[in-house]
Amino acid sequence: MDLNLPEKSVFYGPANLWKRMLAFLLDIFILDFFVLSIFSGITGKIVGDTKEVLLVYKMLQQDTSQVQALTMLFMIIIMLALAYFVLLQYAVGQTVGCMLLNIHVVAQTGENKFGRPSLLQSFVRNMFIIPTIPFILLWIADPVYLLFAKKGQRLTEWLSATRVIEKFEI
Amino acid sequence: MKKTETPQINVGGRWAVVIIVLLFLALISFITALIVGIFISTSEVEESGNVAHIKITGPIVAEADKGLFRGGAADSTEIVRLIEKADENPDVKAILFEINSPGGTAVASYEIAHAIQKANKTTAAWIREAGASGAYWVATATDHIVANPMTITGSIGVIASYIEFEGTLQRYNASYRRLVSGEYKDMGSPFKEMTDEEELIMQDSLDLIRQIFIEDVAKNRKLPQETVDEVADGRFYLGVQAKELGLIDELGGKDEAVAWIEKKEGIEAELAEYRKPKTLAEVLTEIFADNSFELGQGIGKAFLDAKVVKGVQIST
Repeated sequence: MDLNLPEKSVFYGPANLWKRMLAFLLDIFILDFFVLSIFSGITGKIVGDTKEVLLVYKMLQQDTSQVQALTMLFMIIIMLALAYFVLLQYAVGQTVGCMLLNIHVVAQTGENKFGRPSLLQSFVRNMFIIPTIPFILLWIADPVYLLFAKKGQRLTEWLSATRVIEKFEI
Repeated sequence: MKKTETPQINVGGRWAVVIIVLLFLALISFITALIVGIFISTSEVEESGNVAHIKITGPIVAEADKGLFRGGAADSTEIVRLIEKADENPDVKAILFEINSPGGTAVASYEIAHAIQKANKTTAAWIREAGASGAYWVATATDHIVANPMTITGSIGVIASYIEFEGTLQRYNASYRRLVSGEYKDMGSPFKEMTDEEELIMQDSLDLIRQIFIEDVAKNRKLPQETVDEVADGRFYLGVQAKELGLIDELGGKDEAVAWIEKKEGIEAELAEYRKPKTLAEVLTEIFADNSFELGQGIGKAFLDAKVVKGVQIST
């Protein structure tokens, strides 16, 4: 007997928020291994062996040149982190975290039509990584916008016309 | 949601891109860390040795400006710190000062000279091309002065000359609006002609500084004050002339200075250079020295720092 069952339906929808957060955390771990660990020796030389945060803070208060040095190193690390997200999202539409959780970064090219994000789009959607004014304001604006957005987009995603989607099968 | 189109890329290709990007980032991180690491390790202060070697090169100032175009000055604050550091080190038996300076501000020279006098170590000065004026003042504070026969030294005197722009302002129909509370408040302003009274006050100050300079040199060199007064007309002396006048102790160079220390202390000298370690900020600034903003800022600041627009500076 032939059953007239509906065909398997495949569609893409906004990625689950928890998956997105987990993917971001995984990416941070990857960056910690490939970038931060390489710089740890140098930052150690600047702040010494002191483990106590308050002592390091006091030491830095007394020596502004070391603060400048740390800031510059921090900016280099941030630029490398930014490069990680921008390059991978531009080149393959996924970071390592996204690949492991099977979610995709796409550019919205039309109603329910998606394409690969351009370099500029990838940069705009990741601007929040830059820890300076005005980008730092995105740390609040981005998640707040996400809470109210119907399409599950952050503010920078809306600005860059990109989205994070995942595959659903029924 | 309706069925949508997404860009496709084969899984193998994706991972290849990921690996390339990660390796690229790691390589950049490694190279940056390596360069910074090399600079840090080479900028460490060398402290093993029994003779501390401290350089005093360039104009002597109380606090040297730091930056791309503002290097090369002898910072008295830093030099005094190094002298104190060497003095506190029990392994250091003597301090050798390598001097190559045309002089500097009266206060900065005084500070270094007095830090040398306070040190409880044998001290020697090795003057190279120049050790004139304030730099000579510093040298006299040491126990022994060695200089090359052609070294420019002496130049005991005080200078506070500056360019007056009043005529230039008039030529371009510009004027100096004088707003002062206190008759002599703008004394030495380059934008107005100095009055006779002001000149007298300035001259008195310069004479007083010269007097302190001479007294210090006479005391340090164990010379009669009259003798120093005679040679302190501001002229420079070559090393050979300075030796004859008793302004220096010995003609020679580094070897002679080190030999004197060895003989005095009965040691085999091992020189340890005491210098200010470069801060990481300075190192990184050097690395990114081609940054155009720094370049423009440096040039602009250098012009603004020109002494002529700052007014009078008293130098020895």
